[in-house]
Amino acid sequence: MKTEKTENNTKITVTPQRLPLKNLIKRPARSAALLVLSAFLSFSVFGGSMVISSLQSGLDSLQARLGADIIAVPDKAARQNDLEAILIQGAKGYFYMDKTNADKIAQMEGVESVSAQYFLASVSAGCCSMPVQIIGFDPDTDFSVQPWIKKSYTKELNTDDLLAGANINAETGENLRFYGHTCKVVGKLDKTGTGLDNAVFTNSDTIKALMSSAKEKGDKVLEKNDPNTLVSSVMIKVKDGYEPDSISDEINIHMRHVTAVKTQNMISGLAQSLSGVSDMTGALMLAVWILSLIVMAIAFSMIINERKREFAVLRVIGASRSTLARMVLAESSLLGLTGGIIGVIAACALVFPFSGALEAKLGLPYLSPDAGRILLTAVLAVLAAVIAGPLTSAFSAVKISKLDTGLILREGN
Amino acid sequence: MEKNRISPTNIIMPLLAAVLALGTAFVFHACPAHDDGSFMSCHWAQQTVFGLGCVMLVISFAHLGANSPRMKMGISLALLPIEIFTALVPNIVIKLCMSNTMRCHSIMRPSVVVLSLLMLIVTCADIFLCRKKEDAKNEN
Repeated sequence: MKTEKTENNTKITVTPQRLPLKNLIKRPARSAALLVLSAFLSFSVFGGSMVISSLQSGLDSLQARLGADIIAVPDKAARQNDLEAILIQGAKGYFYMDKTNADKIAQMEGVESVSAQYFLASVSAGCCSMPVQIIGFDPDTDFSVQPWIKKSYTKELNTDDLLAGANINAETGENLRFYGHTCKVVGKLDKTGTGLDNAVFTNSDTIKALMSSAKEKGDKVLEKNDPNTLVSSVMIKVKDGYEPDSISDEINIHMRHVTAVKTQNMISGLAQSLSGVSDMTGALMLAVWILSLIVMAIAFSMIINERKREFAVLRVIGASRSTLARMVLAESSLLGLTGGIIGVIAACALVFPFSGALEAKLGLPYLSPDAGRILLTAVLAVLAAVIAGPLTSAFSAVKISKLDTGLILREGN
Repeated sequence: MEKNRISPTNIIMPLLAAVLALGTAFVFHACPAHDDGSFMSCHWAQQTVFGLGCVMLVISFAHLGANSPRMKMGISLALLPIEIFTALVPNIVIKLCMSNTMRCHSIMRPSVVVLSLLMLIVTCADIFLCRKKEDAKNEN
């Protein structure tokens, strides 16, 4: 136990429980330096984990949204990876093939169901807009878009109704003009973390009307074709017991100017890129963690060395060896806890508001995990910083408990 | 004699205001102009935030120069609504571009919101410190 006098001469009692906190407050520069290190540690653990989790959620979301086993597109679109660019990176584009291809595919053995989709990109949707990707689907046959849009919009889409993707800055009830044709936004879809968030969805009647308007306005892709005879892609569901490989091979061999893309291949390609990014982020996190631990261990060792006389005096006034060790561990735990919380808050302020910029930079599906997972990761990151404190100061705590009080005090004279 | 120490908030406030004003103009600015030279609405949101940042910078300097804790507290209180309003300018007061993937949504808006909220936290901390100083002064 220790007593000290305050400025107005009142005596207060300082117990070994209160001493660590007082030590930290009285040395703000030293405490701040150690706080920054702990904060950096939890920042890297939480921030890195969030990026990895978001990429994984994005991939899962894409897998769930595609719905089809195979997507048939025109040869040219497959060669230029236009479909992947639209679905994954949110690029704008459109391509068409003859509608009869959908009927031919539907008649193939092993095909359970097919549904045509229509793509169109607007030139501009008002005074202050960039092109918007418009995706049309046939409500009667669709099995890939409607199951997930039903989570956000349960009614039927009428002519000139639009559903806006999560990244489209338009509210329900707002009118959007494409190629001189006015459409009404009737709902906003939940975020999927894929390129589909940058698109608006409508039924086949509306998109055909929009394609006709685009043709009238002189669109080069549509000028020689009748919009009613075109489709952009055909979503294919394979019957149980049949392999998507054999169906896609049949389409690629027997159908001219059509390429079948297996969604599983698309997902595996992305999973490979994601694994590369995740490995790199994980390695970076580990490196930061080890580096912070080393720097903190050195810092604690230096600080304890500098405070030898302070500990010797505490020994003289009755503090036991274990009390000193406990005090050092308590100081480092307090620093770890505070720094850990600061680090997690800083990471939250960076990772979540800038998720759009991160998504654009990585070019991969990116979807923030749910609140429960975020909270769990935050708790683990703070825990990592709390553990790091005592872990790095343990050696110094043992050293201080073996202190020769007499020798230290004599050294000063 | 009582030592007149400058609290860190006195320095952080003008620094953050300067980062907000200059950053919005030059670093995390809105989408560029169209090819024909016309601007999208996010440009006007950027100009508004720049103006508000400059106002905050001037007020923060006035705060730095003020001697009495009570005056500092008053200046900080005046800053609070400006900071809240600044955070609301992108997309709430002035609508930004159509796609959330565009620069004004992905870079400018989060930067302005994070900096305004940081400024708000620092201002609240300053009000707390000024109040403490004022109470200590009254006790003596």
